[in-house]
Amino acid sequence: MRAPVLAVGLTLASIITPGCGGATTRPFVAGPSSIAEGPLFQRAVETARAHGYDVVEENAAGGRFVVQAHTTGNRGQLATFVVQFYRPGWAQITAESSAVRRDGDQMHMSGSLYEEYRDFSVWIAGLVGPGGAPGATVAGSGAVP
Amino acid sequence: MSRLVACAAISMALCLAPRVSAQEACLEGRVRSPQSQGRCCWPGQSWARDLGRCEGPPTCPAGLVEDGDNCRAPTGVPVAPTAPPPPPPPAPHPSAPPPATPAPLIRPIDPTPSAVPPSVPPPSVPPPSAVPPSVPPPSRPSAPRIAPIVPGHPIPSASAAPVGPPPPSTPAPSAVSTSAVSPIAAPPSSSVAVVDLAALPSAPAQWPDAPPGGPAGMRNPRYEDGPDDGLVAAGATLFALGWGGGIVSGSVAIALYPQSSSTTTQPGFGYTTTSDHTCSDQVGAWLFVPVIGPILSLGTAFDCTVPSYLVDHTTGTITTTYAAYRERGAAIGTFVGVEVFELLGLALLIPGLTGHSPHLHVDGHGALELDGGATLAIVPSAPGADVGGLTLRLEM
Repeated sequence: MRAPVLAVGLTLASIITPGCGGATTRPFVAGPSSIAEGPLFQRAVETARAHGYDVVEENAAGGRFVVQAHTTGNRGQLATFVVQFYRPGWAQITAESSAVRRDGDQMHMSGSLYEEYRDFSVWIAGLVGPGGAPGATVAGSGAVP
Repeated sequence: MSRLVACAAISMALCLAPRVSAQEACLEGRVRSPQSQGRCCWPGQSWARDLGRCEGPPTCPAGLVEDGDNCRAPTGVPVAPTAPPPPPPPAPHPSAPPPATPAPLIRPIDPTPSAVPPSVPPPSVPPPSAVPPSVPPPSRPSAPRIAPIVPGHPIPSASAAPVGPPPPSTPAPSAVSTSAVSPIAAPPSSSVAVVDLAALPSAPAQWPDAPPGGPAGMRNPRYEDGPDDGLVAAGATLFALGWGGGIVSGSVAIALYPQSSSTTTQPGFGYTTTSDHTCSDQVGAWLFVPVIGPILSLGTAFDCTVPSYLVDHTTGTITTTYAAYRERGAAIGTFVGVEVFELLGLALLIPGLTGHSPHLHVDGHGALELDGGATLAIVPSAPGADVGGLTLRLEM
């Protein structure tokens, strides 16, 4: 009798306890962009900086830059968002951290980290995506809820 | 006089050497045309100044396949430069020395992988008297785009204008294309090279190629205004649970109390009693109506009475008595359960349908994110899986 009661209690507790949420997602992809590769990369980096991200790695030749996420994992693990560009004009954004569990192409992370990853991806997609006009502004591109 | 001729010859060498290289170095079958404005583009393309690259569907040379605005070798086949061998440099002047050695003040730059290595005609370098009339006038002497470069010092904007090693003396299909050498020479009287920054390819060199159709993942996430799908889904779910529960409860109420009556006859008297079926039918039937049905059902449960008839056979009189509905407790419980769910569902559904809230969309399917609050997130599996429809999944 105790086991079912305990199971029900734990289930309810997990539902009503804030911060225990998580999300599973595939990487976000943006593109193809009609912007030339050089300006595209540069604008993406500047967009990240404009939104307050520290670019911890920048490799324009390889089409890759890494920013430090503002949100940590549930146990305080640092996380980074990796933006990898592909020809012609694609960008794939992934989250990398010990707090991000990879299962194939699926990423499982905490709910708060996912929300930041999602917003960051929307910003990048606002610039790199098909709607990203060549004259798109750097800061504030992409809708923010 | 001989001094003047020598100076003119040196000036011409400095001016023409890079130009010759620029004319020669269209690699991989790219060509120059009026449409390309002097740039090396694939046949059929034109130069898009705004984009800083060649644009348009290319007519790829034999051995290459079209890949967007670019031509590339088929998978597994290396690209071989198909540029024709460089023509002999034109003799600018009978007395001018051959431009065998490029000007040391000219710096090569990394070529753009997909875009065409830019090469523009020289800007307005004051032509010495020895310059032949065949040299075209500069097409873009834009002053702001010309920056002096002192040898040994980097270009101010390193990220936008990578600078590579000095150019090879002859055009070669190497990583550093001489076509990328800015064909701008410094005035012979100074030690300053002039580089057209606009002509420098700022594009990275080695971006990986995306697989056909682009990298795997959810395409182009964006927020779109519209009905709050989270509220709509949550409200619809709660309302459906409440309404469904009402229908089930009403059916049970009707089924458990079938119409029946019983008659007890004693000497001189006869009792005919009825069951509660009339009230149960009414209570149950109201539960089929959403929202107001449970209220009416509860009212019916309290208003409805059950008649009993006493027949006096000796006198022939009938006495009727009424009793209260015996299932009021069940009716209250049903009302609370059904009505609470239905009203909560409506409370979420109506603002969800009429409201405008940003929510996540991606290409391909209506992926959305349902957020029922800070403590409970209901998200579809669509953000995490390529599914054709929406599959709601509870994330805890």
